[in-house]
Amino acid sequence: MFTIIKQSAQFLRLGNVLRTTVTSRPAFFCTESSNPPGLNIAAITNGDKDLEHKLKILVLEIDVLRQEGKLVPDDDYLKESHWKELLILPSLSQRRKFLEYLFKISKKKENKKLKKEQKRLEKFPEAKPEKNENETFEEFVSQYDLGHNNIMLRVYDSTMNQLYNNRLVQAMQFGQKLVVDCGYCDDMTKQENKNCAKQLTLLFSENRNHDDPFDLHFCNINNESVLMQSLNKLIVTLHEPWFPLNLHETSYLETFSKEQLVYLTPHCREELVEYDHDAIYIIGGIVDKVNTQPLSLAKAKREGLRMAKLPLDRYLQWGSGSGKSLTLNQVASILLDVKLTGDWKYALRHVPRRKVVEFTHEKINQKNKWKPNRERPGFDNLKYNRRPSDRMIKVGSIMND
Amino acid sequence: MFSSKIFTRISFHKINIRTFRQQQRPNPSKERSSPNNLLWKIIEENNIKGAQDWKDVRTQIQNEIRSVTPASIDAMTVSICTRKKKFNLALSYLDFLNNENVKLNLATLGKYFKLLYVKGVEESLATEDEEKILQMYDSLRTTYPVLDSLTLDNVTQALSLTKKWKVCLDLLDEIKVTSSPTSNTYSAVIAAAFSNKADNLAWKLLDELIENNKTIQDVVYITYFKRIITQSEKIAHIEKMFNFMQNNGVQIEPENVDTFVEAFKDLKVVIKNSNIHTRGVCKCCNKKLKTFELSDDEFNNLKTKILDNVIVGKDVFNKTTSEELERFNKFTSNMEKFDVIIDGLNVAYSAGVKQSSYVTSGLVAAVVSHFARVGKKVLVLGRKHMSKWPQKNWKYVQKNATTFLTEDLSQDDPYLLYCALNSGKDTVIVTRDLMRSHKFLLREVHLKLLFDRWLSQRQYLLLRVPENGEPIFKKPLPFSQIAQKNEEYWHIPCISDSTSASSKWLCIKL
Repeated sequence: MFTIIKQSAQFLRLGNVLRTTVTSRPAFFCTESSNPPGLNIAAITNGDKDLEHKLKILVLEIDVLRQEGKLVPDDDYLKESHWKELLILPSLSQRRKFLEYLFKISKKKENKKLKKEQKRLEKFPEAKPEKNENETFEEFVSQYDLGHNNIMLRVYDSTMNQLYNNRLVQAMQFGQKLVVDCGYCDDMTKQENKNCAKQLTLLFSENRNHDDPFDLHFCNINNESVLMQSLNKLIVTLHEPWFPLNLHETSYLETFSKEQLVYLTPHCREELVEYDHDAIYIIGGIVDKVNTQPLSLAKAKREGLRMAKLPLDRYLQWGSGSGKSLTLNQVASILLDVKLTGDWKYALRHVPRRKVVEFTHEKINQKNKWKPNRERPGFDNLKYNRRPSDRMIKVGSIMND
Repeated sequence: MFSSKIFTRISFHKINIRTFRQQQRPNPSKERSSPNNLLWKIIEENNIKGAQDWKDVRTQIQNEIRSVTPASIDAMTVSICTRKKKFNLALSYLDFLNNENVKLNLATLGKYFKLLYVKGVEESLATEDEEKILQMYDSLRTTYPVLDSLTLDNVTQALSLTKKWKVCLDLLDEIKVTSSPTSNTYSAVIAAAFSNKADNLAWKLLDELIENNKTIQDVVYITYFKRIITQSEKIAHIEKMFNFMQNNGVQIEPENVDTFVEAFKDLKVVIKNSNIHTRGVCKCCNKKLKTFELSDDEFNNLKTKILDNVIVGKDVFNKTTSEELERFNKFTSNMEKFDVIIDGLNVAYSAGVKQSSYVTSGLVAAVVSHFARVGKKVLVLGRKHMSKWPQKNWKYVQKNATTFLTEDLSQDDPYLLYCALNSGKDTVIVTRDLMRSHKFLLREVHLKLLFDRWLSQRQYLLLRVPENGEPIFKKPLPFSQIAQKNEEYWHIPCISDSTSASSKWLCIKL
C-alpha cells in the first residue's frame, strides 16, 4: 500500500520536471526565475486579477532583491501566508524589512538543524540501524531499550496535562479571577498581533504551572482577528469545550460587577501597593512596539473603571536604555507571585534583569564566587540521583593515595 | 505686591539646563565589513585592465565573501562600479560576462540600465548607448510582460535620456502599482520633460514629487537652467523655479550645492556662497532677509487641523476626556488675546525631572515674571498636580498669569498648540519641545510645512536661568529659512547638519 503511494508520488514529481522543461521560455535572458515552487497563485489571490498582477510583480521583485545581494529567504521557504502578508504591505521598504526578518529566521532554523546533526554524529558516529518494519512481537519484546521493551512506564503528555489542568479547574471553581482584554486587535500590526498571541500562550501555561493559579477570562475576543487566529494556531484545542479557559466575545463589564474591576495600565498614576484578593484585575492584551499611545488608559477612562499600575518604580531601580515595558506573561507571573506571597520584591523577579540596575555586581560575584569544597561527601548520606557511588570511591581512593 | 525677590532663595546658578545634541554614532566595524565594501576592496586591489582580468577576480570574490552568492555577484559588481563612477570598469565586466556566455539576470540588467543612465548624465549620452538602451528595453519587454518596481526604476531613468522618454510616464504609473517611484526616478523624468520642452508636464511632476515627500535631485536644476539659456525671458524663468522653491520650502541638499552653483555658470548670473547673520543680514550683499507670515486662511486651517487630528485624533480618551475638551472649548471661546503662552511643565522640568519642587516652580515663576514685568499677558498651561507646588511660587504664577490646568492623565501639549494658534498670530510660545510627534499627526506635507514655519517664528526656547533670576531664551530668528527675494538679490537656503543660524545660503543677483 505504502509503496504504491510512494511510487505514484515519484511519478508526480517526474511529471513536474517534464512539464517545466517543456514550458521553459526561449532563453534570451536568464529566465530561471519563473514562478517559485509551492506558489499557488489561485489560492492566494482568490481569482482577483489585480491581486494576481501584483503578486507576479512581487515574485519578480523578490528575485531582483535576491540578485542584488539583499537578504531574502529561499523561494521554498516562503509559504502561502507569507505571500499574503507581502501583498498587504504597501511599501518596498516594509517588504524588504519583512523579507530580511524571514531570511534571518530561515537561517537560524537551518543552522539549528545543522548543529543538531553534528551533535548526533559526535555521539553516534555510525548510522542508526534502520528500523525493521516486519518486526515480530517476539523480536520487539526481546530488545530492552527505550522505545522497545522497557521497565519505565512512559508518562504521556496528556497525563501531565491532566495533572496541571486539575489545579486549573479547581481555580475555576474557587480561585481569583483575572481578565485579559483582547479587544485591541485593530490597534496592533500583524506582527504585534502574532507576538501578543505568543505571549497569551505563555501566560496561560505559566498560570497553569503555578501553585495557585488564576481563573483566566479572555474578554472582547473576535474569532476572525489575527490575534485569535494565531492563538488558535498555537493552542489547537482552544475552542474545545473541556479546555480550562474562559473565552468571552462580550466585554468584561457584562460578566463582572464594575466595583470589583481594576484595570492595570502603566499610564495611570495610582500604584498597586496593596494587592486586593477580592478585586478582578484586567490586563490589556496589547503589544505596543509601533503605536505607543495610552490605549488601555483611554479605555479605562471611558468605562470609568478603577486603574492601577504595578509598583515598578517603588521597588526597582531601572537602568537606562530599555523601557519599562513588560510582556503579558511577565505581568501575569508577577500577579501570581504577589497573590501567593504578598511580597512585591519577590514577585518582581519576573522583570527582566537587564532592565534593572539594582541587581548589583556584588550579588552576582558572591553567587559565582568559588568556594573550596571542604567536606568530602560522606557516603552515609548518599541520596537517590546523586552521582554513582563507585565513581565516588575511586576518586576518594586516589585522593587518599 | 509680589516682586521677583521671592525666588532669590533658589540658587539659579546651579541649574544647568541640559542641551540635547543629536548624536550620530559611527559604526566603523559594520561599515568596513559590509559586503559591498569588501567587494570594492577586492576590485581595487586587483587593478583590472580589461575583460580578461575579471575571471580570477570573480572567483576570488566568490571564495572570499560569503554573503555574495552566484546569483547576486553580477548585479553587485556592476552596481558598485557604477556607484564609484568607474563606468569603463563596469562595462568591461559586462563584456567579460558576454564572452563567458553568462546570461544576465534581471537585477544585472537593471543595473546595466542604471549604469547607462549615470554615464549618460555624467558624460552626455552617446548615440550607441541610446540605441543600446532602446534595444535592451524592447527585448526586456518581450521577455517579461510584467516588471517589478526596482527594475522599472532603473529602466525609467535610462529611458528618460532617450528619444522615447514619453514611455517613462507609463512606467511611472506601473511603478505605483506596488510602491512609489524614488527621488532619482522622479527627477530623471522631470529633467527629461524639461529638456524636451514639455514644461507643463515637468511642473506637474514636480508638484507630485513634493506631495510624495521626495527630494529634488540636482539633475532637475541642471537641465532646467540649461534649457532656459536660449530663451528670451531668462530671468523670469529663473524666478519661476525660485518661487517654486519658496512655496514648497525646498532647500538644497548639502551634496548638491556645488552642482547647483555650476548650473548657473553659463547664465551670466552672480552667485555666491554666503552666510546669514543672526540679525538676518546677508554677509554678501548686506540685504536684510524677511519673515514669511502665515496668511489668515493658512492660519485657520492649521488651527482646525490641530484640534481634529492632534487633540481629538482617533479617540478623545487617548489624550484627554470629553468633559475636559468641553471645558477647554468654553475656555477658548471667551479667551482674551494672550501675548505669551508658557508650557508650564516643560519649563519646570527643563532643569531635569529630579529637581525639588522649589526649583521647578521657581523656574516657571521666573519665566512668568520676566514677561509679566513688561506688562505682557501670560497664559500658563499645565496639569492639575502643579497646584500642589510650593504655594509661594504657585500663588505668584496664579496672580500674574492666567492658568489652564488639564487632568493629570491628559496631555497638555496639544492644548498649548491650540491656545497659541487661537490667541492670534503674534503670540509667543515658551517651550523646549519641538512638537515633532504632534507635527507628524498633521499628515499632509503642506500642513507640516506651515506648522514648521509658524513654530519656528513663535517659539522661545528657554536656555537657562542664571543667578539673577532673569531667564535667557533662544529667540526665533528674525527671518524665515525659505528661498526669498530681497530687493534684487535672491537668497536660497542650503540644508546643513547643524540647526544653528549660520547655515549656508546662496546669494544670487539676477
